[in-house]
Amino acid sequence: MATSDELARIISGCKNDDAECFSELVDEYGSRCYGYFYRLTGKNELSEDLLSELFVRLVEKIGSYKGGAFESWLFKIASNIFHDYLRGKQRWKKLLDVRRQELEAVITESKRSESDKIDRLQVQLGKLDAGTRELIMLRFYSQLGLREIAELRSEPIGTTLSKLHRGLKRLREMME
Amino acid sequence: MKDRQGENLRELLGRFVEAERAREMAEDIERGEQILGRHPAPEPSLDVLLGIKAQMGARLAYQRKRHHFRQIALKIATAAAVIIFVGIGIRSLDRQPGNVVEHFTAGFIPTAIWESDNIAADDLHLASFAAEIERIENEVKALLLGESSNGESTLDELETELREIEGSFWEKG
Repeated sequence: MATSDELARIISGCKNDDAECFSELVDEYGSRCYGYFYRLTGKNELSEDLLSELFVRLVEKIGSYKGGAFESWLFKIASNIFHDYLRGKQRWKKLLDVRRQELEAVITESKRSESDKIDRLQVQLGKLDAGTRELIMLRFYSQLGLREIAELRSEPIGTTLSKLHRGLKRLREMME
Repeated sequence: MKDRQGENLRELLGRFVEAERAREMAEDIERGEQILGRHPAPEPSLDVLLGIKAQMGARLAYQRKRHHFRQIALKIATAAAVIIFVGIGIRSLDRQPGNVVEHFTAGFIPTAIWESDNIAADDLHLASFAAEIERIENEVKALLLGESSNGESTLDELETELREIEGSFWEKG
């Protein structure tokens, strides 16, 4: 994980259109952002598309980053991209397909081996409401503080804490 | 205990609920997050990351081109604005009384002279017109120096006279 000085250097390079610095940014955040999208969509290919869209948008928007927590800025864009995806009419259909596949996965859950734990978590995450699921993923993958998350979601911190607690408690109950 | 974001979760929760409840909630959150930690999401493949980097590179190149084009367009627009501004300035200067002679002198020599091959005949015409221009120029200067009491109307007369001369030249040509 890059130190704040390294990150500052990378961002500075990106602002000067240095392709190598953008590449470093992908190395630094690619996995976390992919995980964020994957846990929200449950689809590899779709997560790759959203990840690609995120980083291309990053190239366009890096000039508008005026300091502060870079993760907060980055995940705000990621969240917007995810919501844009949800808003797409065609994409709703795809989401329904995802849900259908998740339900199918529930049926076959008992047949899964221990090595399929990743999918099991995905199935249980699918049972949470979309807002709570997104909050949990934002918290886990962005590694932002709760104050920053509350600010990013434009809601009081008490609401964020309450939703996060309820969501994670329910997830634990379902997983255990 | 501070969590990975450097926040004291219990302290934060303690602002909203009683200490015991805050402790329980913090534990629920921590244990829930431990489950997520035990079930990592798949990693994007190297090919995907390379593809994304390539897309970013292409986007950067496109942006550079667009920026370059914008700069050129800005320069052209600036040059056009300067030309228009200068043109307007010259036109407004032409309308001032001091420039009446030059204005008419420029329009006075017909294009027929420039295009004609009959140098001897044209020279004669030019000599008479040059003398006429000189005379009118002197009159205009005299008018501008205030040697005439009714400057405006006299200038109009001069203009009419110049137009007549121009017209007569064409008749001669």
